[in-house]
Amino acid sequence: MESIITQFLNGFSVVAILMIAAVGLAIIFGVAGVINMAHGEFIMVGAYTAAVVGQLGGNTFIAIPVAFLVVALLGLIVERSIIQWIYERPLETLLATWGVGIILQVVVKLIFGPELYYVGAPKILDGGFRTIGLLPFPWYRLFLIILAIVIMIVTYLILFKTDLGLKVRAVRRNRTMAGCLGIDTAKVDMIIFAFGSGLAGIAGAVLAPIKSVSTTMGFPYAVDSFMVLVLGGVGSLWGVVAGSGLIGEAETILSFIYNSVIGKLLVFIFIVIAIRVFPKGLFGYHERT
Amino acid sequence: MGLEIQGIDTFYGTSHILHGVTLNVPDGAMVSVLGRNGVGKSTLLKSIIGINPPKNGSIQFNGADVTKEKTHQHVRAGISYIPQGREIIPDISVYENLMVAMRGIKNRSKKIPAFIFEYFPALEPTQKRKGGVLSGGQQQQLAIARALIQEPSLLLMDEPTEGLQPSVVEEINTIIQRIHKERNCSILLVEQNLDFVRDVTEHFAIMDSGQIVEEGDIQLLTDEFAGQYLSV
Repeated sequence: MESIITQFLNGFSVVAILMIAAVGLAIIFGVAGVINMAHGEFIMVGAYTAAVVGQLGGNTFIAIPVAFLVVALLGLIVERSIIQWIYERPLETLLATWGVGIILQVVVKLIFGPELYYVGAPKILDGGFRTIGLLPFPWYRLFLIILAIVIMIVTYLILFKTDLGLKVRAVRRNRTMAGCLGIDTAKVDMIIFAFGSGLAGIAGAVLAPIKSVSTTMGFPYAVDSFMVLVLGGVGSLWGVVAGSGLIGEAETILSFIYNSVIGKLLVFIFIVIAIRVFPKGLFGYHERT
Repeated sequence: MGLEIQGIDTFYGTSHILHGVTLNVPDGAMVSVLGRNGVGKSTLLKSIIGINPPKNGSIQFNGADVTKEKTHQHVRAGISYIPQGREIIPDISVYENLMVAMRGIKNRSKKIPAFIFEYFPALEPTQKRKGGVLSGGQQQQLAIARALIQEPSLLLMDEPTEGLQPSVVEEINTIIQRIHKERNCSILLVEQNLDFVRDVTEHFAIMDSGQIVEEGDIQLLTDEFAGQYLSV
């Protein structure tokens, strides 16, 4: 029983990673209506940014804002050069962003070569502390949990307490009418795409110390993020929290009881059943029309 | 000056809706557009505000060619639009609905101007409630308030009293007249109610199959004359 509780606490760090990885995807999909298939590669670019920052002597705390800016700029370029022309055609945005992802993988491989990069965690977060039970709980995981909470709160404040957030919520709910009230909806889409991309960059920067950095590292996180969205529903931060929470905890505990393959399988089955009962996800309601 | 529409053609996909519509709304005037359902009245307003911009022809507003402008640019140039069905944003508050309209014209104030509640005292206590829970009449008041807060020089209204109970219709009509007189604002009104149109507008246009088939001073709009185009 004690070890189950330990696993439950460990699960929080998995949940935190899922939340950090999924929130950018959720915002872009929820507001701009684009399923960003390059999300995993945006995470990867964030991780490489952290690797570069590391080689220049910076640590994760510096890498987080740098990766945010680099990947936000990347998202801005992708949005201005490609996505802005095809917003109204969901299938094309899907294919175009997938293509962008492939291009990013190749370009990064050309620049950095095929070898893996390793990024150390900041010294201050080395080691861990003992909770109940015998296994130590690493400081870095606690840091991830706190960061996830901070990101969710900051995102919430931007969406619900600022003028930009007000415009975003108006556009999300009624795009045409928001335009008729004078909101430049194209600009809102652009800002949201850049912001969501930047969040993917942060995900990459904090994943770098716990994963080896490679051009394909983003893919599993993109898949997990899509599962979070499908389960939690799009258009709601609570959906991201609920989706990440359920998937992260279920996967951790089931993997401990059985093994990681069966754990993942059970989670997939659970999601299939869940979307049969809640077709729009637990908190979802929005579709771009 | 004012709004000058010159021979516009508008399409929905491949179907041709407006056929060479020409119409003027001079500064300070109130013009009504009448016609049966499906003749293109709403499309005319959507063409002006840029939701469904015309393919051919031109739209001039206060001397500037605005045919190709985006919707938000029209709004910032002084054209506000009250759509059919009101289109209140349901899951944000009444206050936030009004704020969106203010931000739309780059007004950064956090305070709703007092004149809004002089026109719509019933909205003042509802500010914290979600737009979606208001009654039809309150939603229409909010839709007008949202446009009015932008202090437009031209107001486009699409059947503002549709689906409202008679007492509310009268209230809304009084407010429209007051706005026209007191806010120095020209109005292009799509409306089915002949009596109201005769009461308040100076000029009318009747549409049929995407064209303007009659227009003139409001005195010409007798029951018989209107009946030719409006009876079912």
